Amino acid sequence: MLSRVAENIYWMGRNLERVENGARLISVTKTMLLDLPICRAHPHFGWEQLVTITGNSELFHSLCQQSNESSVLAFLISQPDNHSSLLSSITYARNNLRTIRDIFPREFWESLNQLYLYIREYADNGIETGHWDRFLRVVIRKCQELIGLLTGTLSRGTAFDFFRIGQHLERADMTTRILDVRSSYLALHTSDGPFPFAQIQWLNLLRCVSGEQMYRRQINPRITDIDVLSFLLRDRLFPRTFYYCMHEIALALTTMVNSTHPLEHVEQLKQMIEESDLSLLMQHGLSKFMDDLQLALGQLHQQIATTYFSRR
Amino acid sequence: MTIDWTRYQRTTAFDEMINSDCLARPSTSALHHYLSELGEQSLQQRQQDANNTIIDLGITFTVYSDGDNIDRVWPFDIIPRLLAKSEWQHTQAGLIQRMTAINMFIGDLYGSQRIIRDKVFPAELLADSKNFRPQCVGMKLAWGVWAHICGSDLIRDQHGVLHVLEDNLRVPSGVSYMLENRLVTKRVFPELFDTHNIVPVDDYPSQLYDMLASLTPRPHDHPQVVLLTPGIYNSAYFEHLYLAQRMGIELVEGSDLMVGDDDCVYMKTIAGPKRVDVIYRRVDDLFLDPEVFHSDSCLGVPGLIRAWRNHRVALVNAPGAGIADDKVVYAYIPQVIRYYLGEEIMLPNVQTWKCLDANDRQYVLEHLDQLVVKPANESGGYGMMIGPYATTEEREKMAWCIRNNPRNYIAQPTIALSTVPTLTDEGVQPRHVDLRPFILQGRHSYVTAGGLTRVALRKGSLVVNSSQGGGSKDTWIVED
Repeated sequence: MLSRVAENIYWMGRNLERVENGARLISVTKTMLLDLPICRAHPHFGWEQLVTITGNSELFHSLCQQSNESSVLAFLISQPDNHSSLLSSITYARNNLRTIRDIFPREFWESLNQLYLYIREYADNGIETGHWDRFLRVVIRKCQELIGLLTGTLSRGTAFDFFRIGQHLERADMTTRILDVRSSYLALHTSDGPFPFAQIQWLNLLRCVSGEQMYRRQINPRITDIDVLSFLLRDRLFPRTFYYCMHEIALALTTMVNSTHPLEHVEQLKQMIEESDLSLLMQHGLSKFMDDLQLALGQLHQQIATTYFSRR
Repeated sequence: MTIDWTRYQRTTAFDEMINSDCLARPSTSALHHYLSELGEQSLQQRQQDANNTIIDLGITFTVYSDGDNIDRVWPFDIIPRLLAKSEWQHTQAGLIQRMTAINMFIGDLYGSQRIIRDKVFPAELLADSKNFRPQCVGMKLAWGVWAHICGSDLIRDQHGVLHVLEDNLRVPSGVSYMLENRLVTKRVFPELFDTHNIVPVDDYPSQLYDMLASLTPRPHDHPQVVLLTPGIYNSAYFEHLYLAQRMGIELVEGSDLMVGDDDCVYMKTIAGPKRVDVIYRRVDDLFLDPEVFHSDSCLGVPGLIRAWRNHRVALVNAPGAGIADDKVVYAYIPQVIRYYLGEEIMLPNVQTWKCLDANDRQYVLEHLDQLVVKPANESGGYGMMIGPYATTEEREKMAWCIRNNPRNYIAQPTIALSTVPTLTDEGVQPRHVDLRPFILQGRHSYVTAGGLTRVALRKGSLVVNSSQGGGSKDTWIVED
């Protein structure tokens, strides 16, 4: 496989995953804030935490005077200057796919193109208050349809492997970002005791990765901070946990040429998760730990890029 | 509501469905009947379905002047155009005759130049040709073929006779739209395929692959064939992708390839360099190799011409093949066919005045308001002037251009291209069309069943180029 092609497949996987995660994050947060009127305007717990999670606070404040529901949503969905807005991500995914359409099933291009047109139409025309929920749901559903289409029709060769690597690296990255931002508030104790509505916040953490149902059935019908944290990082069965993502990346790398170095990185990441003391981290240092994980993910990306994408 | 054919505003041009008595020609009567029964409203509905299909399929093209919008949706008219099989068989034979002679001609120009010594083709024309590549002199190619893929533009005159208008030998495009148009028609009009015996077009990618593979310099090994594209900003990128996909070969950009110390071409893969045998290049000659041509081009591959000259890689079409894709050379094709094959031309050329010739030039300058004037080396309709539709200013500008550089211009009569029924805002109306079949030549020759019909969607317009308001139609070769 051409290095350029591999790189485009990898980024398409990441960009597509970014669209789905982004849409779910907005949708879940919006539903949650309806329950928490006091939080809505709060700079940390309200809308702006979404911007913080995507790591774009500086850009947001340079573009938007006010931080409120509509400015945050517009920024996250349709702002072309925001490189991780839904519109930007789907546009990048489409551009990635455009140069490698010969590798993927035709129906995949059709569906991805439809999703692009759908998001663009809404982004161009603006979204009415009553239509938010439907729009985001359709976006999530269509992303899942795309992944299902690939799973069902793409040969399990190098193309599929690079797609999986991109997809799971992005997924793991998103999980750490959400945990980083949310948990730093959750770990705070106010003078009146634990952070108010902590349980709702932990529950929504699970929802951000579509994990509520599986968590309750598999782990504990009750929502407890340590169990949720452990589930999101270490669970081996649920396909959006950090550990599972690393496992998928390792599987994809195993059959690939020259994969010794990237595989070592993945093993180190798994080890970091396995050896961490979660209850200690709940007391303090969780945010720092998430930063370390993100740094290590960045190094893994670098390693993969040097091994496979560099065209000297 | 059925279609009222008395409101069909026939022009002086030949109409391929409706004759001068407002009746359907025999070969098209089944389609005519079907359309009449279906009626205009249903037809508009189906056109909408087709447009949606095209948007979903992402069939697009690029217009260079359109800024950031690199994909415009392909304009498609759903009413198919019919050609009788008997006529088409004659046309195919004529196209193969033409290509065979053209390939012998190109090989001769880069070889012993017999045709010039025998004074059939003037030496001075070769001397000023923009497309003559000294780097190709002395090359001997597999099967003697230089132009492996040719898209010839055919037009039907007011008497209904098909003529060759031009031969596109450099990087002809459009074949993917021919294939996609058929796919769209099958989705929109499945029932028509029951009542018509239509020759399929779908084997083109296989034929193309076999031709490309037959050129490998290492015949004993599985050939590695790739398609070299200038990238996503090229107007034909959709087609590059489409053909690579249909053939199952790698789509590469210049930066994906390199030439090794052994003069072999390699592509850069995740497992290291991999040898390439045949390159179907959709990059113009001058951008192929910065060591030989434009040194600032980043679309090409340094050393590619060296690898080709050493027979380590096949380039398709061969560099230099464009020498015969010159509208002045076109005027000599009847002589070229007679010279190499000892045959008379089967498919006539359109009458052509060469501005290089003093008498012809005089005539052209005096009749600018009646003629179509074309620059010798442009494609896509760029730089062309249609006399009857041009302003005085445009005509004066053209006269100046001709006097300044007569070798670069030819003129032809304004032919009222034939019309076919087309769905417009005013219902079903005649619109002018041309036809671009594709001819493959390697070990064997092959002509597509029909080709790409391009239609001038604007009323009265004769310009069929997609960049200038043209659309396309599915083209059917039917048993007669």
